[in-house]
Amino acid sequence: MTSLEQMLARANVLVCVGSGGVGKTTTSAVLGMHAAMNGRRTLVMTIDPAKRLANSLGIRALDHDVLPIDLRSVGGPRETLSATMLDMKRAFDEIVERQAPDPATRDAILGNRFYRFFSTSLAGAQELSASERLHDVVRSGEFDLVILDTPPTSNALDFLDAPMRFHDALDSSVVDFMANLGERVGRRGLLSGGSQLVFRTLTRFTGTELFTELGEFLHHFSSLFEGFRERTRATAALFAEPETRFVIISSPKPDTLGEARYFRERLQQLGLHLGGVVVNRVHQPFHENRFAEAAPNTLADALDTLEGADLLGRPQLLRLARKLLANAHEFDRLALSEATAIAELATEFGDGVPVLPVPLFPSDVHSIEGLDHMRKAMAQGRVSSGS
Amino acid sequence: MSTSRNRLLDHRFIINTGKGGVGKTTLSVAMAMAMARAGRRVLLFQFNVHDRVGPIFGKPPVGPEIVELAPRLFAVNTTPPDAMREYVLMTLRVRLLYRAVFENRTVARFLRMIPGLPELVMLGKAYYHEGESADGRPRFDAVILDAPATGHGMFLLQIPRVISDAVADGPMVGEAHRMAELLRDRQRTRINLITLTEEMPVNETLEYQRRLREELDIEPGGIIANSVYPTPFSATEVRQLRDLRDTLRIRTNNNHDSGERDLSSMLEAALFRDARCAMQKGYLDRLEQESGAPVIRIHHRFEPTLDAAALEFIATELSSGGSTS
Ligand SMILES: Nc1ncnc2c1ncn2[C@@H]1O[C@H](COP(=O)(O)OP(=O)(O)O)[C@@H](O)[C@H]1O
Ligand SMILES: [Mg+2]
Repeated sequence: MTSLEQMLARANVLVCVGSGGVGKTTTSAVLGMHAAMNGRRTLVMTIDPAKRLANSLGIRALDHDVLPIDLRSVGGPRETLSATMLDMKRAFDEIVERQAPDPATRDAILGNRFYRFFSTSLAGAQELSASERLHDVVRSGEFDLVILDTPPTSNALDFLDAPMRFHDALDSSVVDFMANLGERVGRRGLLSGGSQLVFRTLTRFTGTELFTELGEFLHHFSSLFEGFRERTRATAALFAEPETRFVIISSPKPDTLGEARYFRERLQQLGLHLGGVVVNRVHQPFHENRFAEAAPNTLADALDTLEGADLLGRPQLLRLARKLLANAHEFDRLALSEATAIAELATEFGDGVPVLPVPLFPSDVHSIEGLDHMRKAMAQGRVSSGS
Repeated sequence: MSTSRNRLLDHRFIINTGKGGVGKTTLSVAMAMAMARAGRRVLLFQFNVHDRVGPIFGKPPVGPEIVELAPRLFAVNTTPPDAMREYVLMTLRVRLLYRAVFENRTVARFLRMIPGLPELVMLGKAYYHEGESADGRPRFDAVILDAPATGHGMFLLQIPRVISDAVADGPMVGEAHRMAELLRDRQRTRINLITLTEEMPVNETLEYQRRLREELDIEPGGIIANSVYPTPFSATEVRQLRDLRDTLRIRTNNNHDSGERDLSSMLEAALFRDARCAMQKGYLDRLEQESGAPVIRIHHRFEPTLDAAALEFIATELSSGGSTS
């Protein structure tokens, strides 16, 4: 079995995590494509608002709706692959609509000027929306495999902690505190000495208006808390299922790979399952190349045997040879340090965790053919070979 | 264009923005090195990160206390509560109250919910150090802010939103106005947009620049394209290499012996390098055309990890206004 197949075989949910800029979205699409090529009904859920993924998939734009992706141009099935783009704001709106106790509260929340910030920028809000949508599509039973491309957090670990942080931020003590103060603002005399001090100091800083309005918003928003807690519990249960696997997407730089270690530890602590590591954009080595350590003369000699080289003359050939060697040497330095870091990680993670290097291509992946090319490169990695 | 290039390190306040992984920290450190080398006292200001800068200088990770990592090169890594405390103390000037009120757990949580406040206090603290004096003269000649990558690097945009969306009056509004003025003061402040020459980062950089102009009336000092591969092969050489590769292909018809295979991979590696360089060139051209701002290029370094010695190379590049190829 190839590493890629091992990564996909055991899962019906794959959560792709990793720092921004490592190719998470493209990799998620390729993983989905491979499963779909093998006949599994697969949904790729991306958060990437850029049009590029849509273009690569051969469609004009992706939005909140689920769209089928035709794979016939690369010899695949017509309707096993689907894709959708998560619109954070809309996903959060849906949560509010579903969980508000009554239409009046719902409107009060959606119409509040703090709402936009709360639903998109407060720590954990994006992850909460993503988990919620994931939960819905998985439970719909329409797909054999759902792949989630997580929000571009600066740190892979954020995704695990985010729902908790959101809860923490919205802890009911804050709401009670605000409500308590807010109620008595008009009757200052009723504030105890301590609360009065707190209120006066805070408002000197924030202004009274912000204070009262935020308090009012929190009061409405807190009616959703019970729902949030319940949903978070349900999502946590989904994450903990053995068929839900986390895939770490990383660059081959030693410092980024280091993050994969922390992530694995955190997963273990939380009782979650690691499905594998994809190391994207790996440089190819040259140290086994006979010319790499040879003198420029040797390489120039070899070039000289090629037809057309006689047009160039010895000094020119030598200059080319030197540059070729310098170039190979630079790549080799990178390749070597990358290969060492990857091998260490693979040994440490053991046989159960496929570690899959993907080569750096000469150009960006721009089309469905490009995705398929990357897929084929990924499909070559064998589980036992260790690289 | 050449004058703005030379001004890369002239400002008292430099803000390096960009999405995660583009090299903000790397370039911030290299800038600080370049300035310290030129005899200026510089403070590198990081916001709540898992610090890697201390270890580069053989020191422990930098925390909320200002430390001198190398002669004239100072660093601090502040956390939101720290920045908040200092900021509130500066504006309220009531030390006693601070503990009673702001260190209350519930209050701290409440403060975290105020849109834009963490950004505001961070910037406030950084500007405070820029204007700080010790023994009758400025404590630092320059402050370099390694901006947080959160909110897609758009943190500056959040600050005026505090005014328009959340707060109508009070000290926060006054502070937000003051910050917006400081950001717009091009004599004092230079905002760099750091990017890689890849599609997504380039798109996001152009988008960010547009929003800075439209929403904040801020003209960034420049764009820094980081990690640009140097182009070792001239166009003629590339043509020659391609011809040689093609003859080798025809000769061996893809059945080469190991010597031919090694030769072929040498040639392919060169052409691969050229293809990536050409791709980068396309993105650099786009950046220049669509931004209308100077684009400074910093070369990719091939060392496996960027230690102080490697950063010195980047510092030198920055001192001379970036590379030209
Ligand atoms: N010019 C460069 N050449 C080679 N590697 C670089 C260069 N700039 C940054 N890097 C590497 O890229 C990675 C991300 O850089 P970093 O400065 O941490 O980015 P940020 O602070 O923007 O997240 C690090 O591994 C760093 O060593
Ligand atoms: Mg950084």
